[in-house]
Amino acid sequence: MSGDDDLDTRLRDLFSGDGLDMRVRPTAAAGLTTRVAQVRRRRAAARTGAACLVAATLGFGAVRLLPTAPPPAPAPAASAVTTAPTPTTTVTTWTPTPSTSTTSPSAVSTTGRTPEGTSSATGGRGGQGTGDGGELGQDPALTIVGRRFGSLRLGMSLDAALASAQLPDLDRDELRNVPTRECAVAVPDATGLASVFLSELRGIEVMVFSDPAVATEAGVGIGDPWPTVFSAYRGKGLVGSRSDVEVTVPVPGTPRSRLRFERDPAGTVSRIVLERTDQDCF
Amino acid sequence: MTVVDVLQLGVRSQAGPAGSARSVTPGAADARGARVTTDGDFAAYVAARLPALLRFAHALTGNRDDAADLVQDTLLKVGLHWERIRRDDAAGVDAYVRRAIANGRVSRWRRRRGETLVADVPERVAAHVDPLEHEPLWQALRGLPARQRAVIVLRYYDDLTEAEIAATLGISTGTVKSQASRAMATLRTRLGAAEAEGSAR
Repeated sequence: MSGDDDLDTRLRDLFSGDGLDMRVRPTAAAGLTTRVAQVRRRRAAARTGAACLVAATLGFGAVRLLPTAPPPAPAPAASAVTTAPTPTTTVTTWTPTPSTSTTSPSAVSTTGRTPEGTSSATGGRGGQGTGDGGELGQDPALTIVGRRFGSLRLGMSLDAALASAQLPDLDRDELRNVPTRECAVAVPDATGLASVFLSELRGIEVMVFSDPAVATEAGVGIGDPWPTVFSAYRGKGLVGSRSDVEVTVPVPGTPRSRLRFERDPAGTVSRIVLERTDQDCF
Repeated sequence: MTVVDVLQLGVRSQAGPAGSARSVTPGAADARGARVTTDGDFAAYVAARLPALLRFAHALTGNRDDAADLVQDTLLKVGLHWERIRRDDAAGVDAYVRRAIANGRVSRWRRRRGETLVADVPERVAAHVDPLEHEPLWQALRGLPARQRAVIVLRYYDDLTEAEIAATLGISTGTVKSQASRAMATLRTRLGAAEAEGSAR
């Protein structure tokens, strides 16, 4: 038997053996079905909020989607927006302000949230301790605003990310022991709908969003029909075709970063990823 | 056989003995999977197919917890679009789900427990000892980059052709070939090293 045949056989034996078995709780299916219903309700609420927000921001002359957390001190309601509730929060209404709706050409923001940490939303490294990606940290377009990631930014160093205390799962020692070139991931948000990939060498390399409240400046959001990506980014350097499961778009002015849109089997945008073009996380 | 029966019988009823894992491939869906799919009942589909999907994800991720996260994340998304998926390709729901799982990317680093989208899909057994933990080939597989590992799993677990793998992962057949070649070379190298180390002891 040749070496190839031997390895083939060993692989087939491994994959057909008992070792891969996982036991399932009898309540698993019901629990998941219930969760689907909960998320569907939340998404419906988020869509309602996003639609209202677009209408509101159009009044300011710029379509700019904002973070969804209620602001510390809401302005008098010129027009109300219903935010997407998380499982642990209640529906809240608030009013976007002109200043936050027009300050930054941010590539990704979260709908219906007010910015958290305005300083981080204005760009610049500002002593944040970015990694080697200075060209990333200097661009406000790469700053994620909103409660979900707080001051975390693409290009931020591992030290800075650790110091931020926003990644409670992050363990430097574990990161050093990664047997592959994959980055570590931590989920700073209680919903589990956002994650950050880091490497010891370059810090935050990828920021992943799968929250229905997230959309890009161009208006592409989680759950949107796949063709929406192509209409929104036509002529803007989009790489990929409608048949692909993922496509990328460069972030203007930042040659080392890009947006990646991923499609689910139903043909809708399932995740929006802000990443370094040379990331090796996935 | 009812869904409850399937669950009570456990994984073996889905996975079967050696070689039977291929019975759950998209191109050869078993009768049980096809029946619940055409019934259009998401809960029944999940109940009937969960063990097989977890097993598939386990092969893909190399980690039980990551597999559970990947499956529940995928099924949540599928559940949100269940009617549309059924309408577009009622006979291929299982293929859709498996493709979504294969494309799902999860870090080998777990999310915080209690923050997963569904808390109780897998039975998380404290101090569980993974029978594959000391299997050299399994360890070598776990060290592969995610896409290379996916190509190997789709080829040897699912018995997909290069064209089918390419379609599943949304890459070219040339990329499938190169990824498979690199993966096999890496596996041989690592297995050789592991066996040499074992002989030296």
